[in-house]
Amino acid sequence: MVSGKPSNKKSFRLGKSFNIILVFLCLILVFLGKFDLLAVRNTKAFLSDFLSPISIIFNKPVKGLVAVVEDVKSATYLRDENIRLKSEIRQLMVSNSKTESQELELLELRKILNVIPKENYKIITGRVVTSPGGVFANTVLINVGKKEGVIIGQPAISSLGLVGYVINVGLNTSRILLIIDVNSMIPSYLTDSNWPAVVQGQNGKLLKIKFLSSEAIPVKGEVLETSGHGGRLPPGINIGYLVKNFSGEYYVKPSVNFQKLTYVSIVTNFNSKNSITQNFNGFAPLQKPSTSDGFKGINSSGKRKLEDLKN
Amino acid sequence: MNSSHIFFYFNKFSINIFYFIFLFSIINFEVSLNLFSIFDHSPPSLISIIIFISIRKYLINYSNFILFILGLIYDIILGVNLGSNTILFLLIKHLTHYIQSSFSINNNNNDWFYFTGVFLTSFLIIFLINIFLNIVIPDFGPVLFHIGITLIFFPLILIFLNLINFLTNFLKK
Repeated sequence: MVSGKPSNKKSFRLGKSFNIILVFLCLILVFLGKFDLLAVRNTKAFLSDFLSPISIIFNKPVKGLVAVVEDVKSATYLRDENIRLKSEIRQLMVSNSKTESQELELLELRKILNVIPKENYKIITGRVVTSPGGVFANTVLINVGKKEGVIIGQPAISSLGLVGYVINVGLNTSRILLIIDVNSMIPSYLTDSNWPAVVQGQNGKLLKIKFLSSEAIPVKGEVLETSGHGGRLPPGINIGYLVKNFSGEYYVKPSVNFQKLTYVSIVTNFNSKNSITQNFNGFAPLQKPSTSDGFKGINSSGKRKLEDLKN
Repeated sequence: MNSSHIFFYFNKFSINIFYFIFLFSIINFEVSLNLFSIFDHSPPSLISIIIFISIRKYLINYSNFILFILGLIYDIILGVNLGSNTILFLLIKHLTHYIQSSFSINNNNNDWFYFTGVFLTSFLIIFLINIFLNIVIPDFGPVLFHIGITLIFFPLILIFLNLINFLTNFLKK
């Protein structure tokens, strides 16, 4: 402290011991935080509610600056961007006509097979208050909370796919753990080959694939979706696609650009507890869903669907 | 308690409030830097740089309690475990004071070297605590980026502050 009072040995020692006490207090707090105590969680939620308007105020000028930088950047690539967009429109028109016919076919087949229709989820959308990032955690704070019906565990999505799930809720704000966080593990499946796997965040840009069968042959660019296994997250939400690194290992690149997250939607009527115990039938209910829970790619006896077809 | 004591404590309190607001602004600015695509991995630890420079060059002694509270606020804003950043701030303060008392030569080149030592030591301790808590080794890319960008920013901020010092001195003359 800058003060007019000269420091003496006694006050220096006191300060030093106070510093050590504070460091120990912090260590205790760190470990308590890991136990996920209700009191700690509520305190954090309350303080997040309190601090979010301040964060918005501080973010505003920087956001304005970022917008200007982005505008300048995009202006320099305007011509190239125009050419790219034109070709993209042509490609999309072709794929759109294909998709329309496939959609009709799919609806017809669903009718024939008497498939249980997908649940329509209720969503509530909030603005992202704090930007994600950080070395130790990847979370975002959004401006919807208990008042809007958000509860812990609900999935958070954007127009591009899965963002994460709610880990803490205040009265007006909610904290979302992003799928890229090291503590996030999402049950998923490879959409082309139907193999189930778990994707785990690494606090980086890519997600690690875990528990993928050694028999699986992943294909570069293959899309991964949530499988709904465990009932924590609804099935069929886009996670990302497979990419190969230099050493030949496969990773998942999330479809969502977490850097540019501005709005996040929370699925508010997806109750994970009910879906496990009551009528959860996985992503694609199979022939005999009543006797056991069937998941995408796995039949009621626990065998893989493709193997059954081969036999 | 006589009036000089009251004045001393009031002065101490008001200075601490000023430091708190200053460091709080730095924290929020640092968090908002994430919005720039260049810092998409993680922003530089401006707060570590500011604490180091203000202790080393301007002989400011931040109160432990202020750093404790600021660390907690920073943890809440980032959504990390309460206490992680507080330990980092307190360690930076403690190590900078140690350097201040051990190496009296004030040289910009040495400062960068000392800051590297202080920051790496403090960061490594926090990093190990986090690995121990999560039982997972995270991707080293963002960690190395964070360390690298912080060490790159240190001389830039130092040059900027020296320039301001030079200009104010020049204008005074």
